[in-house]
Amino acid sequence: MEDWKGKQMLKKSKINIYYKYSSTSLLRRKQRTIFSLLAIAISISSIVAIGLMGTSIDYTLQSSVKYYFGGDLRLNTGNVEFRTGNFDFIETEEFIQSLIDRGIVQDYTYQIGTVRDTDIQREGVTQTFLGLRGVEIDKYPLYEEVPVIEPKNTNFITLFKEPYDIAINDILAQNLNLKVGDTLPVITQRGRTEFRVVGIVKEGGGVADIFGVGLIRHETMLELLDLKERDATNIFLKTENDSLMYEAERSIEYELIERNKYDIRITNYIEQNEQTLETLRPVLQFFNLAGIIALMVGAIGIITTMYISMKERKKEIGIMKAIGIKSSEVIKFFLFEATLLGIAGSSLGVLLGILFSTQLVLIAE
Amino acid sequence: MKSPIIEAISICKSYKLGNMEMPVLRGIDLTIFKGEIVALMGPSGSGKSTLLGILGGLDLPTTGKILLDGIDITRLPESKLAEIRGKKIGFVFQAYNLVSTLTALENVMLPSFFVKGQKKDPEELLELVGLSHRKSNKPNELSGGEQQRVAIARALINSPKILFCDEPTGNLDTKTETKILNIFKKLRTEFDTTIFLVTHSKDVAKTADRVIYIRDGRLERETNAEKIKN
Repeated sequence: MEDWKGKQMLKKSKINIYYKYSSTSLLRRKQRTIFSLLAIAISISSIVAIGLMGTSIDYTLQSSVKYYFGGDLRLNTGNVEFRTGNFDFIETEEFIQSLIDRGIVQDYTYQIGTVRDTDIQREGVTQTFLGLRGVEIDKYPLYEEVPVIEPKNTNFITLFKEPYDIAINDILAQNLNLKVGDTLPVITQRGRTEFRVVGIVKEGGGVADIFGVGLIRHETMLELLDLKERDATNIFLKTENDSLMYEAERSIEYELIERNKYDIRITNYIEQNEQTLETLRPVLQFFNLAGIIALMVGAIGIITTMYISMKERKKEIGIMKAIGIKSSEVIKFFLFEATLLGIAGSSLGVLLGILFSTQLVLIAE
Repeated sequence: MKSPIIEAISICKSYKLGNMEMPVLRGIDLTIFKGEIVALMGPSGSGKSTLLGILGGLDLPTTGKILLDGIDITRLPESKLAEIRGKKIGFVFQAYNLVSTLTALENVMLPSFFVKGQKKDPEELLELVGLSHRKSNKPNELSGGEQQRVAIARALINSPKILFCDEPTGNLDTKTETKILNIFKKLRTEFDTTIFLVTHSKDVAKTADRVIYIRDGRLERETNAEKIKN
């Protein structure tokens, strides 16, 4: 008999034999295989879910930061009704206009935010607080648009027709059980003013997330609060890029805060973003820790599975060694088996993780 | 001129049982020559299987030397020993010891994946042991005799110089035993394979050129096969 030449076939069947040997031994010990698959899948899925959650939080923060913040820069002027500090809205507006003329600022808008009472009775309890924002309808917000939930396929701007029209956010609609067309009374010093709900929109931030918020025209707000002159709680500025934003911030600090001694606070979106991240950091750290623990659990799962498997198969290993297979080669059989387990468990885990994280993100939203 | 393939020089082996030393082999000198069939007989517990394990490099002697083709295998590291086992030595066990998850053909091929050097065609080997029609069957679908024949084919795949068989027919009936013995004879005439058998059966011993008797860890006497026949 001559030296057998089927080398190519040999190579192909070697992997085949590894595969056969491993898969059969995995199938023969079904329960243990299922348990270790689960252990791996759970750990991998939590890692994937945690990773995806982290990036999605980060992404949401990055992509919509200007929308949620309202612009690149924000000037907070304090309470319009009880002004104690030094501030003049008309002069501020003139200065901002000069910044626009110099090409530093692109655009700006302003709003008045207050908290008011209403007297809607709901299951015997009078709902008290609601947030009100008087905004420039055609300019608000500077970035993106206010998403309209009801009526469907409508733009925010087209909702407002009458002076006493109000667009409420979904939280307020839910709290007060309001629908489009309903009447919403607002209590002020002037007495009871009735608004007509013209739309339900998505609007968040501060009081809007807790009690709910209504958006009305800025002029209506001035009337409601009996303000003689135009005024604003917040002024939002839009700039072309970050360096112009810093330039605008410096000019306002110099001109309005240092020279005019206005009692206002100026914040840029980057500072705001960092603050948000700072508050989220413990949550993200917790996720990371959970991920590491999950990974360890999975690894221990594989290790014990393979260890028990090797102990159980002492005899098989003995045969392999007797027919001339080196220890290092014998280990390859087990490594192959562990790899199979790992690949199957991980793919399952990735799928579960994606499913899990999308569900979590939906819940979180 | 006969040349030796294995020389065992004053082999001693003892096992520790608590504080006691249990001697199993007490100084064995033995030479096996190329192309001969040697049978080792002896009562249970006389050390037959231990001696076979040591000669084949599966176990180490407490003292003594084993020269395989002039190389002392008792001094070799495990990896080198595994290589030698793979290349030069074939084993056949009483319990067949096939890998249950692989087919007959794959079982025969298995050692060839891990050892370099001359290899035989696994299909031809199966034909040699008369099992080419059962190559796709798994061990649990084969009878004891068939499994043992697969094990013999497996032992031959890397063209070993010597075949060690530990009671190869111990679990088989007389008819099947005859088949196995015919294969051994064929191996000798066709490939000039050296065969070392441990056996209880006189019929098996009759196929051998020499029969060595072991008792209490010592070689007792040696006869040639003609004497058993008479």
